[in-house]
Amino acid sequence: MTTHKTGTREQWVAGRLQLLQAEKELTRRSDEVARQRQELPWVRIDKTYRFETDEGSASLPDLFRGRSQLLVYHYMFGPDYTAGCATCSTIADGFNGFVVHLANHDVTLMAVSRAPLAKLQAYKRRMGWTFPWASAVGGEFNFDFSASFTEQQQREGIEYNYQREAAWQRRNNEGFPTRMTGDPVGDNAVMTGTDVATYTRERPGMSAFALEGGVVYHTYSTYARGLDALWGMYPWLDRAPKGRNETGVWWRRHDEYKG
Amino acid sequence: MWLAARLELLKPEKELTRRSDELARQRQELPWVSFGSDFNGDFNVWFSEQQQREGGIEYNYRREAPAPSHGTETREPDIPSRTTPDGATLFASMSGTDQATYTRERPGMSAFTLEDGVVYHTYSAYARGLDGLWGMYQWLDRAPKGRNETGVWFRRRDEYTA
Repeated sequence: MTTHKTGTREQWVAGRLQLLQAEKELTRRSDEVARQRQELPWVRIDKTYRFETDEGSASLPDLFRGRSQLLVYHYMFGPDYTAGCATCSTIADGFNGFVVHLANHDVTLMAVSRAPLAKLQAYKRRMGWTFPWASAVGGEFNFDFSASFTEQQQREGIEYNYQREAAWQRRNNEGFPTRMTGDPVGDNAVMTGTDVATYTRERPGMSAFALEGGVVYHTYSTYARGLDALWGMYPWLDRAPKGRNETGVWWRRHDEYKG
Repeated sequence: MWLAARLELLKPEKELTRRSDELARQRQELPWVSFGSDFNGDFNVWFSEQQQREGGIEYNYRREAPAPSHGTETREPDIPSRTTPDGATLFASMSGTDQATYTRERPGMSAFTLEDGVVYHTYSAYARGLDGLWGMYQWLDRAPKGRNETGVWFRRRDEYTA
């Protein structure tokens, strides 16, 4: 016999109708925040960035691939990682499916990381992904958009998610999109073959850009739990009987699960 | 200037995330219910022609009016986004059927749990209740031009011309 509260269909419907009001209000509020995002001023980018892509060397305007909007997922794959971040991989598993739809709607969604292109290509093959993935190796793109930090910045305290962090020390939940007990950052560092300091010099985020009249504008960036809604599996868990139900990192890369 | 506006926006975003956490908690408080046998019918995602004709459709926890007797009238189906006036017609033709047939099936998700051999129904969502589960929209909500839609802009992934 379950210890969870059980009820009749009628009792459930009564509770559900009440919750429906709150859910609708949340959806409307989400629409309103989306509207507010579009009101942010666009900031012209005059700096020249270079990227390595499957098609060769590319500029930031090139990354748009003929479309007017570019969404960049700042995928955590530092030059010293032996594999891409396992947590970012669960996010990429989601958007890999609908990049093709956004591409048909004037939006290029792609990943950008600091590891050399050959590493990204090998890992992408391993994961079976098809979304475009550019390397920002040697450039300042990731640093300018608060997705990568130098050792010196780390020692002195970085600014991430619009907040100043204290000088680096070992923490458990650094920049993590979910609020989790256990040691998610330590576990992730191990899964990328690095130590925690190296692992956390890359941070998760997404940035949006617009291209108009040959000029690129930065329009939006979000980090940490700002990525929560983009992490496809969580909105599903938020509707599961036991919710997120997590005490530590419960996921692996999709080819690392046993049978 | 951007940064000041972004910091201002960060507050409602954080509030939205916390509110979302709170609703997720409330969902878990719904009572669990053991259920009957007509699976799709019981979970309000499939309706008979008779229900449709007579206004017996209760979808997304609302009783709908009877369907128009002539199939020509376009009525926006309950799809998770607020997209388009031609949606019902277009989706029907994309599915190789007419509007009445198309709208006898509806989108939804239901959650169940299994404990000691007993299955319980715990949650169901329909229509825009699926919005947060429709991955591409959360990304578009952060794009410079937002959802930017005046009609159905998506096709099946193998139907785009390269």
